[in-house]
Amino acid sequence: MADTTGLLLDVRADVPGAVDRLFPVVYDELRQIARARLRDRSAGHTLDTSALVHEVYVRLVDATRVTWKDRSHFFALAARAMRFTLVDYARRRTAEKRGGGAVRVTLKDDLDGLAEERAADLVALDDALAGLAAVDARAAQVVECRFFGGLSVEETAEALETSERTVKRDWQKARLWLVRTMQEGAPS
Amino acid sequence: MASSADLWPAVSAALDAILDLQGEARGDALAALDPPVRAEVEALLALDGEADRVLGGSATDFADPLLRDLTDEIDQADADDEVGRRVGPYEVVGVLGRGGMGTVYRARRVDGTFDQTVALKLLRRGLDTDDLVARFRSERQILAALDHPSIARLYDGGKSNDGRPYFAMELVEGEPVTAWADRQRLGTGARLRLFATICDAVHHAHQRLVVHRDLKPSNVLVGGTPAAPVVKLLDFGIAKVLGSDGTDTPLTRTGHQLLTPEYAAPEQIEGDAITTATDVYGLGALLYELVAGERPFAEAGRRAIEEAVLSREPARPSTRASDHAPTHGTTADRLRKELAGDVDVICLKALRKEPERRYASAEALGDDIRRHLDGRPVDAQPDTLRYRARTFVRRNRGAVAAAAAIAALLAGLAGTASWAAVTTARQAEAVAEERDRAEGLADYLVGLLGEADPFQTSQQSVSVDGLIDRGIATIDEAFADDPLARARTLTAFGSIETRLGRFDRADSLLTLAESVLADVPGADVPVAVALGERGAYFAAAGDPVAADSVYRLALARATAGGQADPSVEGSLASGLGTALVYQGRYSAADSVFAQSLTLAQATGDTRATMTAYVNLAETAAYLSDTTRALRRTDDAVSLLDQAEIPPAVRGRTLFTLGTAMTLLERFDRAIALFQEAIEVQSGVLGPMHPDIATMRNNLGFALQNQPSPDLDGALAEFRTAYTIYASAPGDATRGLSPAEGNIGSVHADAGRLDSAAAAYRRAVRLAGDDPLDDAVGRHNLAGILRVQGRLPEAERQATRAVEVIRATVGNDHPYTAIIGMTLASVRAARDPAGALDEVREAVEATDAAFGEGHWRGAIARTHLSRTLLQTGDGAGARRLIGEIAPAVRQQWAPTNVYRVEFEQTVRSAR
Repeated sequence: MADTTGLLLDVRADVPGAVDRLFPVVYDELRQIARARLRDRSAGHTLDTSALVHEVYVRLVDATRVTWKDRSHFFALAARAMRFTLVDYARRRTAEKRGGGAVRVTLKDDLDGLAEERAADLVALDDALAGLAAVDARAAQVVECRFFGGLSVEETAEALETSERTVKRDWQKARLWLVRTMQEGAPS
Repeated sequence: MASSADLWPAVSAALDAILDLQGEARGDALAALDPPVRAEVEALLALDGEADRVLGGSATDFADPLLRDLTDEIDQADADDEVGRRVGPYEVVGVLGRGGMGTVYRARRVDGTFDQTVALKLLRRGLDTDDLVARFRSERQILAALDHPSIARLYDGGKSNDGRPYFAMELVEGEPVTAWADRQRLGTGARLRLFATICDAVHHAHQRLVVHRDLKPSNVLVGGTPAAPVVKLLDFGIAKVLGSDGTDTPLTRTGHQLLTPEYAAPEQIEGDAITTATDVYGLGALLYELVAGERPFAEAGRRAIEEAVLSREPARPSTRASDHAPTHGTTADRLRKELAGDVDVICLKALRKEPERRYASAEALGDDIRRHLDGRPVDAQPDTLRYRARTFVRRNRGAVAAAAAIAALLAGLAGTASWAAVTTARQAEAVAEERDRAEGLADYLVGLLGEADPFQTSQQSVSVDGLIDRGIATIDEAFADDPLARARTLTAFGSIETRLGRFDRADSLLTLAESVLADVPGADVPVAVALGERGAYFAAAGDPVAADSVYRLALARATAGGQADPSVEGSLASGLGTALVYQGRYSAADSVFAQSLTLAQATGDTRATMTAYVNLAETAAYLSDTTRALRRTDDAVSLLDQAEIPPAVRGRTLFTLGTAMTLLERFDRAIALFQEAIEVQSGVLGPMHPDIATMRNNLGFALQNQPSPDLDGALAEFRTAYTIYASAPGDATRGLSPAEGNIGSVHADAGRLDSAAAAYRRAVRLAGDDPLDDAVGRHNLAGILRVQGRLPEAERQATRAVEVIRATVGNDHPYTAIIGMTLASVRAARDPAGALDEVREAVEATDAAFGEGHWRGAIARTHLSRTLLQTGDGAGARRLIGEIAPAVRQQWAPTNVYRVEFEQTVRSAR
């Protein structure tokens, strides 16, 4: 197993390629934990974004070797992994929907169409977020941390090395910008 | 999109400044911006609600419906993983199916005792919490208690190596009953025989107090040959053991979520008590699909299906079966004929919304099927006959109960209940008067007919029907030489028929009277009287516009030729005024009632004078002329105290005046008057008379709407009213819908959204074929659904309410304005910008119906202010709020759901 703690230290030290090496590890671990938590879900548990991200950290990183700033950087990566995980699944769902031909065994009928609707929303949100990153990269990162990673304002500020006030303001603005873009971008 | 990205630096900077500002400062800052930037900023600010919807929680919360599916995929993979493992003495061979709690496997006994293949149900991994384990055990115990050839048998059970409970059942080799029947090309007869067997198995379970609760084709497997089919009822996974009183307490939510809505009974959707009748409904749905090839409701989506189950009658199976004739081994025409009649009727009886109106047991349903198969008459009767039989009561409840429906409208509209209440009183009075007159007429006729037929008088009881039939039969003979008397008698009979709600008969009698009178010269007064009865006929039949013109014709005839009879003229004026009130034309009604007052005073008729005062007090109250309304009320009270008034009239008048006081918001006096009226009338009519229920409704309104509301007291009165209606003999649904509406309104005032929605939903269901109850119920329900955010259903309900109310009272009636406002508000919730014009128009219609400055206009403007805010016109919203806030706060108690919503709008607008 890769030395994730070492990779994380490399990220902080701006070692070239460190992020690219660390991210797949975080992503895989996150998916695995999410899967286990989803299984518990049948018994009535819900999936808690923030708890997931923290659990990935505890599992992958030796906390004695890193500083709190490293920890925040790791959270930001985990938040991105969370975004990828959810959006991947949402894209798969919408693709199946469009494909139509593929027979998918739905165990519980999505009678409300809510799953389809949310899948479409998530895909639209992901696209809008990419657009936001082009005009205001920090605001997009704030959304990733806050929404997908479940990070607190404080954790987000640490990860992005900015003030809490800026995080709050970016968050407020970005939310509005995103829903506007989602609405405008909707084909219907 | 490109433009918003280009503008972003400027917009972002503007937002930095503006987001911190409130109220006017924000407005000023906005005004200082460049127009394109300002437009963009305002558009963004308006999206705060949508941002909350999408980005208000965490990503996993938002993705939850999606993750639910992912969970299922994982569970399925887990189930596949079990194959090949040992569970107790069994080895898992394959997956048979998955239920809510457990997966069912095909398993083989491998402990060497004997060779046996079983269906093995194993609790899913991760589900082994205490209460789920307990429920799993309960299914095992239920199966152990059942012993029937058509129910899968329990073998044994225990715990798997990893501690999860399991049990082994008889393995059923078969396929869902509908699929099997189609594959075998079974005809209707064979399908019905199969169905009767299923009824037997369900009845067996019921005798052991087990309700299955989830009957559907996939839980009824059939194998064997068409000549000897083997039926097995499966999956008691959500079955329930009933208490000793045969009912279940309201369903647990867990049970609800596991339901299949296409087959769920209304009481399951609403969370009401589950009884064996719930399975009778499930059997009805199963029968429907088995014989027609379609499910009772074809709607798509859980909510749409649930709504249909709650509020729509399914189409007759025979009308939906034609596409499936080939799989039924017959032609479309023949299949339709086989189902039309008995099978349609049996199916729809099992599927009735009200549990008590279904078959009494699964056995009774099976028996009726067998009677049909044997060619004997079936027990089930089409609903329409029943409705026809109920027409008399329904029509005559006019003032008493239908008026209570109007009362519910007001209550549900969340303001004071007063105009409803007044209408109630006005109509109650009218009906009571009519009843008195009808009784007097009946007395006269008994005498008349008694003379004609001496044998009749010796009878202890003379049936009204027999009397009328006999009377009609003898009219021509008895009055052969006196066309005037003949016409009068025909008119009198027509009047009785109107009051009995038999409009066809009333119509032909009145037509006959009119044609007789047409040949009598100088008969202006009798013609006027006959026309007056025709007016009463239209008013009672629900056509106040026609009543209006006929009364005017009658008045013209009564005064033609200078031979006016003031008492006839006064009574016609009274009728015309009532017809005008029914149309909502209060000002016109007021002048007509003033005319009737003059006539009553001219004849010195104290009672007619008092009635005229009461009418005038009411119209003045409708017209918000408080001073005059109070004076007329005092006039009426003074006569009430002076005159020798019988208790029944005294009680009714007290009630009417209490209602006027309610309208004038003199709640303390209203409450005292209602209490006295109830006391007096209970002595006259008994405490369980429907009129008492009406009075309790209005007392409830007063308690609910006084400055310090007594909501518990109001709820108690409304519930008593409900009990009175529910215990009335004959028509069991009379008055129930408005009573439920009132109960819902108290819940709405107390801020209890779910309870309010449930009560209004029941009100819609109980409305039956009464258009006013139906429209009012849907209108109330739509309002609550909107606040709950259940917008598609809210729009459907509101749309239907508008259609019905338009068809019932026309476009210009105040109710149409109120309900139209509701529809506009629902549309605005879905699409604020798109519906803004509609909301403005609805506000204008409200002003037109009630006059500028009426509190209804303020209520209507709460919707407009919210919509303005959502479309980004914060300044417009604030201005409007400033105008209406005092009136709104006076109408709605602080806990009222719409008040709470309004205060939120006020806060957001700052």
